[in-house]
Amino acid sequence: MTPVTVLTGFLGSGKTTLLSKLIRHPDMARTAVVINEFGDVGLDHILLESSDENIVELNSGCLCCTIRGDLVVTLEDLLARRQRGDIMNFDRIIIETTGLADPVPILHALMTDKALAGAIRLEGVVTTVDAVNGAATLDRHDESVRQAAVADRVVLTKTDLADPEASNLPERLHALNPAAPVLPVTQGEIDPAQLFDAGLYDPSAKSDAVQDWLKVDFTHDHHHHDPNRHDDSIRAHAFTWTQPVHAVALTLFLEILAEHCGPDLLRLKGIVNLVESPDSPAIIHGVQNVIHPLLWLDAWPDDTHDSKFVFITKDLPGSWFETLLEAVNAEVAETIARRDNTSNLA
Amino acid sequence: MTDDFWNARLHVLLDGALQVWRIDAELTRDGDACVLRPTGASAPVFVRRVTHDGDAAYWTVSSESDSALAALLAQPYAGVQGMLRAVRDALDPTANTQRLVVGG
Repeated sequence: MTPVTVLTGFLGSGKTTLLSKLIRHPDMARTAVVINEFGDVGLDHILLESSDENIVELNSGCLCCTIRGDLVVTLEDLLARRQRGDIMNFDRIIIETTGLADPVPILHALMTDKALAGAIRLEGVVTTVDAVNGAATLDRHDESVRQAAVADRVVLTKTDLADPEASNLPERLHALNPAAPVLPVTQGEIDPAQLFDAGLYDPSAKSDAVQDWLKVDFTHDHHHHDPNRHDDSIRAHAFTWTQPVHAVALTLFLEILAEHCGPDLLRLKGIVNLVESPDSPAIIHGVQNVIHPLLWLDAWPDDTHDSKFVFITKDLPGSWFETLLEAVNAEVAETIARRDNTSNLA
Repeated sequence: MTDDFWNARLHVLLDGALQVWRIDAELTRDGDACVLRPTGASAPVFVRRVTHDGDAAYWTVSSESDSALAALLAQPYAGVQGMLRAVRDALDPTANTQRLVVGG
């Protein structure tokens, strides 16, 4: 399956500069790019200074609002043209969103479209935040908060023009999204290896990679209250669960989250110790009400076989997730115990 | 699990659920029930976990304050999932709902 990376970031945060440098890197030679711009006349493809046939523009609106269908059609077309040999072969797709895009509906579309299932896999989200205006943008624009909150990698741009520490930007980004590394760059210069293979956890990766993927301090909610900021409503919650979870309980837990939290559950990640599979932990990954099929690790990455869950949410109470899992798991355990007692009596 | 476990958890569970649903309601205890009184609505909602020796426990969601009457009249819900759905439907019948999608 062809990996797809969503490149997002607020207006003027350096997406196109970053993309321009990335696609010139030798390791990125076999990359197709889909660019989404507002307006009938796009400029980003010109700024990329390339006439590469593998660059496609989507100018009829914003991917997150009106043209998700167009995105799917474009991706299908790209894959078909590759199949026919009409364009240069590629083994990666990057989708650059508009600066005002909410990436969550885009991820949702990529994960749910039947036509794309089996042909692509969502690899991750790279978000640019600029050191000059990033803090003020987070204050003013909810879209920029959501872009940073769902990122697998945050690229901190324009660090040659301003000290991001002066506006407390790195700390703020970490509070919003503790699992995403913040990578400072100047002029878009970065090794592509730092950005890709980052999002949907790859079970073939090194065992300690899962620790990075879930890189969160599991001891407290990552939230600093400031009612004047947009990121006040978006929070990272994490908890560790020491008891094995029944597979049925995990399913019910995910169903309840989808039903009740759907649009406000921006991202969910986790490694789960299932009663039915104690030696092979399950990896879960979701966006809103869409959960990727479970992935399985061959072994635990360390000696602690605790389940770990990370949630990025908008206006949801973090402690509820743990209470909910506890209730559902207890109920399933009770049912199983009752069934076993009945069987023994019979 | 004991009734004490469930009584304690139910209150916490419903308190969190009200925040998730963004429903303004007073949450109190009344005997074996958790009572939700939505702001501006006259009818409270009583939620109970009903247990009988030897039988599987179930949940009731009703407007009955009397436990025995509620058990008689209310539809039983086997699990937390059904109970939460019933409570939300009772408090906000127009709420948009979503279902779990297993995506690619």
